[in-house]
Amino acid sequence: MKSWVIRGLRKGVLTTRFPKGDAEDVPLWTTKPVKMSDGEVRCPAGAISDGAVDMNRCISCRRCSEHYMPDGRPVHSTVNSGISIASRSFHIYMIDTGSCGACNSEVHSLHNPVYDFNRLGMFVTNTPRHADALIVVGVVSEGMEMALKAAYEAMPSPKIVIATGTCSISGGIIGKGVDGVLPADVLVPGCPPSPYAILDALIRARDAK
Amino acid sequence: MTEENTDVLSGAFKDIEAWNAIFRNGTTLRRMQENRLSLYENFDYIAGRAERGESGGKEFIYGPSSGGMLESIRFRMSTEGERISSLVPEFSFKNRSLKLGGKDTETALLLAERINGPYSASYSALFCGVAESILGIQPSHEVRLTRMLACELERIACHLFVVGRLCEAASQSVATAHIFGLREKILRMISRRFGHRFFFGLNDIGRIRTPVDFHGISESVDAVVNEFGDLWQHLSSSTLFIDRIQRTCPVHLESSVGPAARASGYSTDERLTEGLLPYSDFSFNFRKEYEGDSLSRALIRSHEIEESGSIIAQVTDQLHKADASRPASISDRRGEGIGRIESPGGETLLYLRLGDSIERAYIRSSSLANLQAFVRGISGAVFTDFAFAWESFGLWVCEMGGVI
Repeated sequence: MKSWVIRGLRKGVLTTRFPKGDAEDVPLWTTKPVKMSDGEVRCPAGAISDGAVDMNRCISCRRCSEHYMPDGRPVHSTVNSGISIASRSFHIYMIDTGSCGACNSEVHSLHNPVYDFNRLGMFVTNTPRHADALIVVGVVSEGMEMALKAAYEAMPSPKIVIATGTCSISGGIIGKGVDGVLPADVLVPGCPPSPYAILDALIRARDAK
Repeated sequence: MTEENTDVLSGAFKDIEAWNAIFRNGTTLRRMQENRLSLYENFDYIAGRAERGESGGKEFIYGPSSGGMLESIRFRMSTEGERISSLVPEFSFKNRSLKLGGKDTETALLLAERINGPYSASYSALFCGVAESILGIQPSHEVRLTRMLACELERIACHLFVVGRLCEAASQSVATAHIFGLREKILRMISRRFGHRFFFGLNDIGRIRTPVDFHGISESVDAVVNEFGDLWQHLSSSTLFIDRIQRTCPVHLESSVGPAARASGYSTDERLTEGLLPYSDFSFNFRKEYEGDSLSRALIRSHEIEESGSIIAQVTDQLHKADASRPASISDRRGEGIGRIESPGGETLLYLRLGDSIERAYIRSSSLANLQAFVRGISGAVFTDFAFAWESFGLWVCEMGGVI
């Protein structure tokens, strides 16, 4: 026991200063590609139109890399409506409706000591009955549609739905997104979104008026 | 070339009315009748039909969406008091029905690397390797080494995740934080060097899509491996931790793959065969355990983290900078091929038949191969063992759905 404490003290603080400080090591290919040269680009996700990139559709496939380069700046989520509960803790429940596992892994990373989202008053709950926000990862598969609706119904109001990752927002190249099944209040782009992008979305959703 | 072992069924899929079987180390399809295939005890699992079983007795249902699981899966457990007498896994709730058939290789590669995001480097290297062999494209040595490097970095990140989840299940909060901190270090290093934390978009047929700078990778990995070694040694002296995983979910099943098989004394590792990647040019220690329990699986993973570090040091000695080359010209050659790769979960098998587009694809994932071992091992365990058992296998539900 004592040795674990000493080990921890030796290690020092790993936790990021975000959101007070900047996000570090943002994965380049989750940031917005910017047009660098003319040429034909066949975007398999249909994210590029007239030289502009729709990050809600981008799947980080680098098929545009001959003519586009990511700008390296963190991508912000779209908050259509938030939940103003700044005076108390914020509880989230994650539901996997058909993901490849990468989004699950990035949401799970919020627990690690680098992001440590508990320090911001955010917690994971094991039941939607105690959740303020439903984080949806993956496309909405046929088998999970009913479970998704049931989880949403079980949540107390006020409640929000956070579509996390391109699959959940638009279906990407795999299936259908959450839209049409549930109202998506927050859209977190990325394939998968980096933990910073998810953390930023949670903060902005919680503090929205 | 390693000899085909017809005692172990590696994969089976149906084409119209006939069944095709692939055996361990086999490189050809064998037409077989269903009644003969059903003699293999893992047939229902690898054919994706394990959900049909009856658990019997009083059923306890867990899932498909529950706080304790990272992914959606439902278990129907037959219980006697706190003991689990049998279990039926229902993994198709989140099935995305991925279809490679009818797609061109470019589109199919995108889907292949999303079968299991955390194993993306392995899946994309496997798909590219099999497609290249059919199309007669020979990628450069540098490209093959870069793929191998990505696979080993992926293995370290995934093994750290499994050991971290195991500590989390065993309420070892401090150790969990240390291990997930190390995993984050690896993912960030991957992100800085390869542009993405899960290698999405890196591999392409015949080439690497964007440049990679290998400088400093080995040193960063070394630091993580050494720190993990120290943590693991420390963790191994914790009786609280060891008591929870020792003799938990013991199983010996020859059809299992990867760390689960090696923890049960079986010598299976695709890196030891003449496969798609040049592992035979490098040396690493192969280790087996014999108890087949959660502790043995964790021991194998801790050992493999160290060995992957050694492979990475050897590979990066030969690599300095990989430039993105021009796309390979895709020939109109047609044909079929079988390939295997050792993903972090174990042997992953791909059969591909190419015509004008992909005519048929079949993937047997490591998680599907090991699901039977989990189901068999968990019977007789108590409820509290469930998390230690599940996490020790490192199974991913996303890759159980199958691909056609």
